Amino acid sequence: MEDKSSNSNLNKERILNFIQKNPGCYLRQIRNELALSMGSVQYHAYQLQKSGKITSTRQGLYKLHFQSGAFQDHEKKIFQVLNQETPREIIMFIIEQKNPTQTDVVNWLGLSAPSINWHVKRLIELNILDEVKDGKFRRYKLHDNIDPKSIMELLKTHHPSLWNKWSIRLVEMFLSLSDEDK
Amino acid sequence: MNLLEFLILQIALFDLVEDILYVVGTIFAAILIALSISAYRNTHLKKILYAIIAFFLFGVFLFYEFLEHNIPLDNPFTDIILPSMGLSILVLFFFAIVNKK
Repeated sequence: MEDKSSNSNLNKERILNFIQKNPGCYLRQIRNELALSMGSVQYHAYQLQKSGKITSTRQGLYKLHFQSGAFQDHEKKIFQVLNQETPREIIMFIIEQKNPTQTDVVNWLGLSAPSINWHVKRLIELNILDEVKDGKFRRYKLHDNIDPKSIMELLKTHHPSLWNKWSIRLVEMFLSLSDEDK
Repeated sequence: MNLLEFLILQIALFDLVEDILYVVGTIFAAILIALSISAYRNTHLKKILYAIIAFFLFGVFLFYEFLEHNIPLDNPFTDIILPSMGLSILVLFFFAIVNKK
């Protein structure tokens, strides 16, 4: 009986540690990495949330988990963006190229200009990117408050799910068909 | 209808293939509805709402065809309902493309 209880506490501790090290992780990820059953992960995540040690925010079909108090709402939005394929690639390209123009981003990603514009606008609204006018060109850079190193760390641990990739591609298909923001 | 076409239509296998195609089509429509709902929740892009309704109508369209094929519904409006659904789907996709917001 005691063994069962200490095992359960150990699992709860492991889940809490995992969430602290991997902010924005979702239940399936925790289950796979810690080799626990889904029921056990759900139960402990619920208990941790009830006791105020973690918080969660929903993104599509997934619930992202965070250590309580460690992240502001704004930072949680960054995690959501990093779980989407195209915004993630735009950020990586901008970190690599420093100040690329809009045309550079469009050519590199091979997506339509309206799709890129739409994603970039969202990233600017979230204060992740800044737009700088350079003559007749528009250049993009990371927002001054964003540290490229910490973003790179987050990019390593956050990968878009297949479902997320497909749902964003559906959006891009509609954006490419319309001439919005051209 | 020539004799060969008549004989082909009598083969039960063709009925089965037709049913399978309706069911697979309906399942695909359901997947596309779920995908577009997920896309809408991620992006709040209004034009995705048109896609959700269009995929839903497409699912209903195929399911209705499936029912018609297996249980004769004897609905006198079927000849109007089905082409209307097809037209509505195209109109919704058109709006999804041309709508600015």
